[in-house]
Amino acid sequence: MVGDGPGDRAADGPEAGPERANAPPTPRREGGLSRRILVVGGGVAGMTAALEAAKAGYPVTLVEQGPQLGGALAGLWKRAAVRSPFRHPVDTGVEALAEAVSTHPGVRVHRSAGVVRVAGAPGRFTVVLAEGNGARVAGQVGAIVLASGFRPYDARRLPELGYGESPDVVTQLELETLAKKASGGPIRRPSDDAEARRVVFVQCAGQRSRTQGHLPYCSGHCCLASVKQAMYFKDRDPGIETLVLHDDLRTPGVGGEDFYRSAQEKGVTFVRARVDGVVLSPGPGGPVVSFPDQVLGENVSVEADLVVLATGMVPVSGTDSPLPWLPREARPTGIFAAGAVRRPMDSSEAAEDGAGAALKAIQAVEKAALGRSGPSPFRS
Amino acid sequence: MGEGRKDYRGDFLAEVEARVEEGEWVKMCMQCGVCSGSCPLGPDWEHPPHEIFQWIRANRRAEVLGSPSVWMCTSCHACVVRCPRGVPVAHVMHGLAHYAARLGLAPPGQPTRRLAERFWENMTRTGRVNEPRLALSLLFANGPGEGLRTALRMKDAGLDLVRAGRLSPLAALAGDGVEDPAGLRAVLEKARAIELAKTAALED
Amino acid sequence: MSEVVATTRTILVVGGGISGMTAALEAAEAGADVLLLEKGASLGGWVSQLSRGHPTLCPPARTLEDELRRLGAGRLRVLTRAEVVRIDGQPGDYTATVRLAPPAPREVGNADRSGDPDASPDADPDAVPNPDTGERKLRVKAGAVVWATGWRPYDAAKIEPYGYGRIPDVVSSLDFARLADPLGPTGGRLLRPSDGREARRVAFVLCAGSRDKNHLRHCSRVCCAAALEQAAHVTGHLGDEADVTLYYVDIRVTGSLEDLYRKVRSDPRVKFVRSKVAQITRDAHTGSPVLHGVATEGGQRYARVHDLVVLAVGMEPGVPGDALPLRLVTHAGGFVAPDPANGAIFAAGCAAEPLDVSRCVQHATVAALRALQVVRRVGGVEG
Repeated sequence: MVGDGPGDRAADGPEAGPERANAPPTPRREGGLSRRILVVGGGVAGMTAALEAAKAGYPVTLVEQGPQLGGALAGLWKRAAVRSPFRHPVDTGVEALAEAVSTHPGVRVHRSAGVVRVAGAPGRFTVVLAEGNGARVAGQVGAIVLASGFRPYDARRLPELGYGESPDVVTQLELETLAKKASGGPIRRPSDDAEARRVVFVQCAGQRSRTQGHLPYCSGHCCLASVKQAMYFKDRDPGIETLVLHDDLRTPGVGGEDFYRSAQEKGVTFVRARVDGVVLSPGPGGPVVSFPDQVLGENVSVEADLVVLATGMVPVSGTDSPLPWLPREARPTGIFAAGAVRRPMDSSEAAEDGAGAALKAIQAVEKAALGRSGPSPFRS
Repeated sequence: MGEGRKDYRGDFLAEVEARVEEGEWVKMCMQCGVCSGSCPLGPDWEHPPHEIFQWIRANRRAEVLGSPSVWMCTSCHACVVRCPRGVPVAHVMHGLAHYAARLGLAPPGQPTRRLAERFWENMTRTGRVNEPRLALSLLFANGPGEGLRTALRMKDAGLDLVRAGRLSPLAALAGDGVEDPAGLRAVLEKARAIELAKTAALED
Repeated sequence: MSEVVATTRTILVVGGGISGMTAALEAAEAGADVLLLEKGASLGGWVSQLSRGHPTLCPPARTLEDELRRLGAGRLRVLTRAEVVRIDGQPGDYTATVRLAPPAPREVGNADRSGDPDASPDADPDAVPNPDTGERKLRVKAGAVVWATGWRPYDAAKIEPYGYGRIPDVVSSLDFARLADPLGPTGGRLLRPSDGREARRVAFVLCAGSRDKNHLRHCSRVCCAAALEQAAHVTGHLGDEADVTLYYVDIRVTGSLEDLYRKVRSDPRVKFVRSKVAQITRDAHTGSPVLHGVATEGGQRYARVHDLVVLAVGMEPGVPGDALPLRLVTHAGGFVAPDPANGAIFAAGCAAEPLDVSRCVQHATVAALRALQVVRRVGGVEG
């Protein structure tokens, strides 16, 4: 038998009671295995993992180091379309997700908190949380989802692309901040708060490159992100000029090509130009972007008033190295990585990955209840 | 930017979208090159279609409208049926050529342009193409000497056409036409006036 | 253990490829009752056919073999030669009508890993075989359905200018996978179909049918990486003799697959031509295929002879939108959309969108979770 009903042990877990730091772990009740799932990280992957596990009937504790849920997704103005006809940027849905997580009776959220200690095995992990006020909370969980996300690549490593030289050279995430500030109104460039009317996107900035300090891999989401961001401008005013400089434009999958087509319909111009040929220099009205145009076969210079660098993702996995990304299941077992800590991915995929990790965590709990950890435990 | 050039400004693209037949398709090109590879006259283009599309986006007005390339299309439509974006490439090229001619920017002496103009003159006179007359006017377009030499070189083909009933020398004298050629010309004149009105305000 | 075939607490998984197997196993390992139906005679789907040719993209150690080994789980039953022809009902209470082809569907994956004997579909006493066809009909209950009917290759013959079916040495990427398979018909030698000579000059034509309004509107995602892997296979197989060309518009590989791309790109035996091939003809003298087009970088026109041309064909849904056993909300290409209107029918893997193997596994795991949530609600406390 699988055991007792899901959710009926909501009482155990880290919130069982505060205790002094370094106190011995709460003794496990006789035969008591925890069905509680600890989710570390309150971004889209972590929130989705928490909510989905709770919906399946498991008690969840979500720990977010910041004061708010939302993670990187909360920093976005919109996200790329996720449904047919894949035409327009759509709301991120982050507020609704955070609300659903916060109000679900099966989820306990610890903000401004971190995990300081983990010990044990599936079904009987002892974890110690550090709260923002310095208090430590210890308790038991059955499985752990690690969704610590990513940090943006440090664009200061790209002076050749003008980052740090001109305030009007920004990363994609910084453009999201500008777009959120504009809130549907004119998006203004940092230097003088003037509306950006000629915007150049540079794909693969510091990515797909063997150059020291660059990322060797493709972060996968940035082409679609630039397509989306160019639409921010075109949807507001078709007269704003947007240019996307790219090598391989990567918009795969069921809707990516439709989204790309839609950007062209809206007047976004795509130009084949490899990033290693792109040079930025100061001009009278803003940065001047020069590049070898692969189709025209000539060097071309364009005046921009805002340049957006499509920089990549670096995982937050406890090491400072951009590689390796975490595998799905860490050793010891019962700890499951989810979202951009595993590999670079956009918010849709991170949500999917978070839900998948929730199921893996549920399995770990169920297997522990049967006293097994290997595969095929269910022949009774 | 270069010497006062405004590369990739949207001015010319906007002009093409507003003034050129099917010009609103230019922005949809994805630069795959299948149009250029499909064109039977491809080797004769200075800039094949996919490059013309990018030149328009790059704001190279003089280069595009003065290019002999936009006159190269023979309307075989191989590009149109193969374009993965459904762009009517042939129509766009004709639109650009026509637009350049209206503005007086088309290259002088372009042979395909001359063919098009003579075809038009020939056809609008009676409402039917008079093939022998069209052939003769093209043969002697560069003077009697070259005309005779070309005619002698092509005589076997011409005789074959006559034998096959595809060409009637007598038609050069008579030929047929529509019932009301004057009415047809009035229709065409009206269409021309409408088109010219579209570009009238352009010289700025 | 006396069991009925299925109840409203059962998760019905339709399709026994990598996504269906993953969904079934993941749900079973979370404690659900699962019935996995496969239309064909064996499990494994495309991965079982392609893994030898695509060790990077279909790592058999991590996927198929592993999954097959896990099939013994008691709460998971498998029926092969079982096709779902109709689904009625609503979330928490579906009834699927299943057509069982003769002989009696007993096998599970490999013959030596036969399933639970209790799995025989004898719950419906009215399931009398059709005297003509030997077919039987079976009705099964399910609380939720994972729809994992996978993909099929786009029919290359529909790309008229490429001559598939007319020019013998123009093959599809799936045909090539058979040629490259050491257990395949040529023992892994790249013998071209027309005359059996070993192919040395091999062309890969990407986006054969994908990203094209005339064929498939979408990008099929996997073809670039698959073509790169096949190109690497040719160079590995032929050594210095290899002369490979990839014709492409955009190379779409993400994450660490960039390493594969970089490796192939830096190989002097492999040329990359950025161009959508316009037409393929057959050389009048040698019979070899000739590729025609214009390179968009540099503008050169080419008419290049190859021994063998591989069309990297795209993916379309295995069951087209109009052939689904019930009405579902689909995307334009017929892939099943994640839409609340689809109730507790959850598409997994390539039935939902073109995905590679690792993304199929990821996607199918989520479908399993969604189904699990439904049957947990239906069942209340699991017993």
